[in-house]
Amino acid sequence: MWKSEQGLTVNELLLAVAIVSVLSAEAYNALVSSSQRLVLQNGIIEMQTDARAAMDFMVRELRLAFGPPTISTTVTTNDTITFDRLEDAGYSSGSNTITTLNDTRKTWSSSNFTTSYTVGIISGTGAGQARSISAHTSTRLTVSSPWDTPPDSSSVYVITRRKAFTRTSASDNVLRYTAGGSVNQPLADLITSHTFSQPDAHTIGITLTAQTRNVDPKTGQKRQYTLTETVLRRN
Amino acid sequence: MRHGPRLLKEESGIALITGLLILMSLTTIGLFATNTTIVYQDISANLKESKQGFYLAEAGIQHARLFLVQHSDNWSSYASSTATPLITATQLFNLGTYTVTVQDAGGGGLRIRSTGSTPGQANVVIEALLRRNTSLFPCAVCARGTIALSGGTTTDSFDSSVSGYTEYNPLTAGSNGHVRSSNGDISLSGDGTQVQGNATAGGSGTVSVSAGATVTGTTTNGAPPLAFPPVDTSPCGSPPAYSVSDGITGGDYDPSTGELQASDGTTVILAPGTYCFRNVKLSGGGILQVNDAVKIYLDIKNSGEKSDFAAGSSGGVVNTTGKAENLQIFSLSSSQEIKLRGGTQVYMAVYAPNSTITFSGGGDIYGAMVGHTITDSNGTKVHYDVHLNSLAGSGVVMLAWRQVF
Repeated sequence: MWKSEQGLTVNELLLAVAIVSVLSAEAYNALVSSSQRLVLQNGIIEMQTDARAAMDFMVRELRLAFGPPTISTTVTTNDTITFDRLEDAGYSSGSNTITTLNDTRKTWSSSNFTTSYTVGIISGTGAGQARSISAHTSTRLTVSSPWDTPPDSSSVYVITRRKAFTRTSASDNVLRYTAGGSVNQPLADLITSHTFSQPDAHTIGITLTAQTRNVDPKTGQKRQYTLTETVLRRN
Repeated sequence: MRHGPRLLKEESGIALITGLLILMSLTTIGLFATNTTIVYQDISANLKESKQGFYLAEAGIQHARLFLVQHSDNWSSYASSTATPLITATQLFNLGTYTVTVQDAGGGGLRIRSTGSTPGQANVVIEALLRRNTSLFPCAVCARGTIALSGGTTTDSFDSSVSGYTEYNPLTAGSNGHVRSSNGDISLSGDGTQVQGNATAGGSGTVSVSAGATVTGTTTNGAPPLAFPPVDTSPCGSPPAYSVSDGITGGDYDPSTGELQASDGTTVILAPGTYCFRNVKLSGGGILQVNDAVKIYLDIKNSGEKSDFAAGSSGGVVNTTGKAENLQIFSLSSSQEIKLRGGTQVYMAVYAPNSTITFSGGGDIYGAMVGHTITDSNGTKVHYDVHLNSLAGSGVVMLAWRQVF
């Protein structure tokens, strides 16, 4: 320590700068590498979260499908599934007219059903008929066209809404969700492909593949994640 | 003493500062990564909780459904106008609890609502609409009118969906060989005559058990009448269109009259499917054989005709599948007589609530029978297949299922 009081020689200074440079370069590399790994890990988690959320939502909705769904191709093979989602069900309480169906046990709110909802009779008097709902009160549905056979208190009805999962572009990687047949709302992005299948009458298979938003700096490619689920239709 | 510039004097501290800077940066990155991980762990935990809640609620629906199947006799007592507890909070290991309420849905239906609650306070609610469809074959021997069993006739039960009757024996056979009349007397007499189950007389009928006969279960008089669900006539049409010869091998069949006969030791084999006949007559050792699911509908075209099923004094029915559900015989007319004969492979279910059913030759019949009056004095052994009580379309049927939230 006492020797250093004599000052620094140029050689000492150069050596010190060299050592600090090497140490700084190593530290910088470590920082950049950690940062890249963090970004990659975040990207992977985002991809997995998107895929799981999309899958979870589709499973929940498809469980409620009433009757067999229709699987078709819009952009890629079997990427669209159209189904009638069960919204409510019950027995009519009777006293129906040719354009109404009553269920006095219900307390529907005024905005429950719009014209994109359908009421169908599945059992009892008038079974097999389905009509659009044109208006409703808390206990009465009014249908858009008269019943051929008006339902009575033996009639079991179901209220459904046509929904679909699909995509509209091969490049935007967005899984879309259609309610009521007209609006394509984005459900999840980062979904590069998905397919639906029907192994048997009550089962729906879903496979979807998601990818990270950014490339993996090590491989120069985007990471991918594939999920497969089987849904048992309850209705 | 010389005093150099302060910075130059303490240059060795630069390593400490550099080290601290690196540590700070790494700590920031570490904290950020930890925070992100915690957020995504929370997301995963929520997903797990919601799935756990869903399966708890589903368990509640299944529990309630099974409960209602087992207590279907009290079905109407659960139809209250407000939601009433059906299954109280039931803990499923340490996964959480489910609670089920029941309410009248009108039209004879019930609405059950199951709530699955996890320890993490996730609640999932599932609602189901249920209906009870009366079984066509609720007992071993069911009659609209009287039942008279004597000469060592016995009833017991087994479940063909579990195993064949050969896996049982008279000691282990089930005690569901119930005998039930809707509105008529039940007479049980003679040594060895035994009902391994309940004897229940409906309406103004009474059960009489004379010396030598036994009832292992309960004996009830004046029970409510039985419901006899109408038979679907569509397979035959109205007036009936008798089956063509397709699928019928052997024997003698006339599609114009709907008469199927097997005599002199011949065997008539029916391919799987549904048939509409007027008569089935097996005589002289003639055999009616089925190897897969067959339903036979018996009906007449003109009033005054008779529509019989006669197994004759020898021969009879052979159902190689070992399951009564695979040979179901329905009578659509009231001018009909059913004569059955037991044997080693007589697995059949007969639904003829307007017809007389008699037996010959003793032997075993595995299945169930529903008639207007049922009489046996030959010691036939009726082994009720309880699986017939839960055939498709009977029992508790779920009409609609939905996850409310």
